[in-house]
Amino acid sequence: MTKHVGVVGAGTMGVGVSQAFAAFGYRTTLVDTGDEALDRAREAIARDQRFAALLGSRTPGHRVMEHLTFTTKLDDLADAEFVVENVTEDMEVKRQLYHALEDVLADECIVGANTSAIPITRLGSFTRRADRVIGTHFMNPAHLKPLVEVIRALHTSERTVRTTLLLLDTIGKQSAVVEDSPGFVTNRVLMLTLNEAVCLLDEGVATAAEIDRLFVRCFGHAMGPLATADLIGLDTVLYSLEVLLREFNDPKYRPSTLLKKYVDGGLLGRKSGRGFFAYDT
Amino acid sequence: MQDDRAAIREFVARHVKGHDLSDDQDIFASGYVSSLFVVQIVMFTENTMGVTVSEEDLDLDNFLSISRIHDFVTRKRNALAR
Repeated sequence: MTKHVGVVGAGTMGVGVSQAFAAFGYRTTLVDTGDEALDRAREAIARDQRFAALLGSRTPGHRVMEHLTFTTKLDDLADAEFVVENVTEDMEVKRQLYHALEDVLADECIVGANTSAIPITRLGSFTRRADRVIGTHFMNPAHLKPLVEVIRALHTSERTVRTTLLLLDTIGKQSAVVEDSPGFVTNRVLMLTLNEAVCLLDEGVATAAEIDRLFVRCFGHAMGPLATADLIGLDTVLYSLEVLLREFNDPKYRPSTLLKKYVDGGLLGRKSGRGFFAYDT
Repeated sequence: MQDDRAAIREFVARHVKGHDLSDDQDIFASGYVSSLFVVQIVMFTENTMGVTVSEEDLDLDNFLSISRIHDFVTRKRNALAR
């Protein structure tokens, strides 16, 4: 029975995932390398909680902060039963983190990798617990989205799958279990779509607003591809495309030069206040 | 106040990228913004309009259109003045 959940990486996903667990009463520890990132996360969580009901959250009460601890010490996860890893989509960063976690985590602790595209089997190979490593691909905003893409890696045990599905069920999430492959089901298709939408914008085929409106009004998408890219973070979209390009060695995943330019210029989407759309107030 | 209405129109227009919405048109049904835009509207009414939005005010009905936002801001200002 899980009581203590660790969330590593206090970026956009870590902020949502930690709320998702804390809202259901789990003692939740959010870990990042710097106090600055943790302060930003604390602010973002306070803001999200304020608007949670307005955006259709069904989570009970306002006690999310009571269940949350913010720390820079990985050691605080020593008694965690489940850890969700959300650090930057960079193989070397992830490799070092998984090595470090190996020295801290209890034997039975399961690691849920919340990566955009990196194969879970590879992440498992950075540990001595490949049977207890599984993909838990939360969608953004994680505390509001009903479904989690769960990825079974080559060595993930049935027990790990069962425990993970049960845990997700207790925080009101349904799961879809898929086999391990770069980008899984969702991001293999989504990242290509987002990239192609950026190419359309770059070529002047349509404005950003019209590209998105076509998807929203014609296909019933809740959000168009460019607003989705802004929500994910353009840096994460770029890193994910680079991972897909490398893993499949297929040029169809080649990132748009406009996407690269925006990331170079610090236009990262919603989290930086501007991407393809503006998020000022 | 006419200034409020103009400022709200300007704010909304900026986020639907020049696609004119009428004052009574449902902003969220336009397809130009997602439901998350309501967060920006609330922050705008607080930061730019200087209105305090309480927990019970956090109702989508208050922010559905330019007119609704204007009514809400006016109501809050009047309550304050009284």
